[in-house]
Amino acid sequence: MRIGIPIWGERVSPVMDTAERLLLLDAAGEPDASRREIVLGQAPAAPRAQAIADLGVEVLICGAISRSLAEMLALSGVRVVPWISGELDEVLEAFGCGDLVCPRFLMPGCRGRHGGGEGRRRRSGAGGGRGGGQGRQRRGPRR
Amino acid sequence: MEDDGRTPGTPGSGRDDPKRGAPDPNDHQGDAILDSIADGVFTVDSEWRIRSFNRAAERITGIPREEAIGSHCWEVFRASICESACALRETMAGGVPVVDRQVYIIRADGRRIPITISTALLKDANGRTIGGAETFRDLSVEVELRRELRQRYSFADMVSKNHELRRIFELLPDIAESMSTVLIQGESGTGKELIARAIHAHSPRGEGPLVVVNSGALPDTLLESELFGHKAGAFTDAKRDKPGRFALARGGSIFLDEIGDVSLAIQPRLLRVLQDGTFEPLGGTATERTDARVIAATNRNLADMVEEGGRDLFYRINVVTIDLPPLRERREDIPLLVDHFVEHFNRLRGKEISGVSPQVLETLMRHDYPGNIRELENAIEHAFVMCRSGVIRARHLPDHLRPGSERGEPVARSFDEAETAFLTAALDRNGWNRAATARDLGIHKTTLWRKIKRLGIEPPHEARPEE
Repeated sequence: MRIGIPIWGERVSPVMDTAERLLLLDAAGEPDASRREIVLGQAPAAPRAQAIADLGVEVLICGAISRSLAEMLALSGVRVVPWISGELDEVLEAFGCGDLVCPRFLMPGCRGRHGGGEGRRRRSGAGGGRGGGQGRQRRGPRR
Repeated sequence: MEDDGRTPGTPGSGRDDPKRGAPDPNDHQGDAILDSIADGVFTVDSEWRIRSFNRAAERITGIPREEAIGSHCWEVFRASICESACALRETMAGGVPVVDRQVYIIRADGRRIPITISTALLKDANGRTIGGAETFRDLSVEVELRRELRQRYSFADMVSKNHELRRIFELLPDIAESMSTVLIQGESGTGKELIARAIHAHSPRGEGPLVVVNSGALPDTLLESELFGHKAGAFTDAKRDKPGRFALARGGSIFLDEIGDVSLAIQPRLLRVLQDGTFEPLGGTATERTDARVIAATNRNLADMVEEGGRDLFYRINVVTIDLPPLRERREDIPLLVDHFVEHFNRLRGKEISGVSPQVLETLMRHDYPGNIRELENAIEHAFVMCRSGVIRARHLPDHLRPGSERGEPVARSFDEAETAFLTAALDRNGWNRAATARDLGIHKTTLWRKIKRLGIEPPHEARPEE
């Protein structure tokens, strides 16, 4: 599985629409995951979505994202896991364990918007990306 | 508090702790004051964690204060500039406040909210910087109202609330549908080509080609070849057959700009193609046909052209006439046009300029625009080069429009007067030698001669123009 994450320093970039760099990972969560960085620059929404789809990204873990860009990505077959913030390594580790969608990693104001269970191990039972479910996550932050 | 050891403004590397930067219980009075402000306000400490978040900020961002306090500002604010051009970072690094910069934020429902932001430093009693404050105003309603206004006053890519233009916009769909030959009259820069494009796009031939020919820019022999095409061997450089613009416009429309500059020698051939759709390419013997719809334009007075002998052609073209008023006669459109061009160049250049300052608008309203809308568009384009973001101010305008500049005073003259002055200066520079002047200006000497005749330019007594 190829995962894309917009990055800003060592963190997930706060706004997908203006993120300048994208980290590509194959087999994320595994010790031998290969990493590659792509420059998105200041591309507007449509070419941005197209570029991400063309890179073969299957899952995009990102911060805030506009509705229009999220819809374009969905139409291109990219599953979006939005409203995520935090340190890159911790986010990836949580994704690998299926523990990404929890208040610790969700941006303020978005904690009741996810269906939860986002990640490799719980993917089959997850409600999907944006708007995949309702209700606040009850699981607390990881220790 | 834990220091993540990073330069302020770059994302921290420490583990997130939602309890960091918790609000000071003694801040209740300050919160009450902030809550009474209609604009959103938040403050951050030196680690970019939000320390206060007023009620308007909750309303605009959709984020409850309890969730915002203690979080990094970029996780809460989610603005288009967070990553690359943070205004707070700019202020905290340089000590200079940012005023009214237009950006957008993304709410949790995915809506992009246009806002303006202003920033200030927060200092303690000893004058030491302890953080920053950002105020922001929701522009959604204003932006939506502007959009509605533009839709109400627009047709295709044109905007106007001038009654004459509104009448033309109302008639355009019927004119487009009719397939009649149309003559568009107006000074240079009034938007004749835009009207022609709108007529073509709304006509039953909208899917076909629109072929544009600037009849005034080409010397006679070249214009003839351009319009009707030529056969191989028609003249020295004609190595192979070349179809003319009338042939290329089959199934679509042909826009003959500056038709007033077409010489009397070409007019009969043009008249023929307009009357029965037939023509012969240069060097050819077989007659060809075209069904192209003809839209013509001129910046000249029709009566003058008839006097000069172009009677038949211009009566043939003058089936439906559209007269475009110069911009100085529709000043009420200037604010609408300014908005239109600001939005256009924002899209084109990927910028987020919010508009022009009241002083700039006043300057633009007072100018006489010998170059009409094109001149206004060029002025805004110039300002976009000079202005990085925020509001276009007087210093961003071209020299001749800056207040205080002698050239910025309203120029009470028509386009013809401006053109006369321009050509006279060029002729003067070249000792009134027409061939040299035409070369200097990059136009054909016949075109120059026609312009001199039309504008009634005469050499000073001491000058001896060539004959």
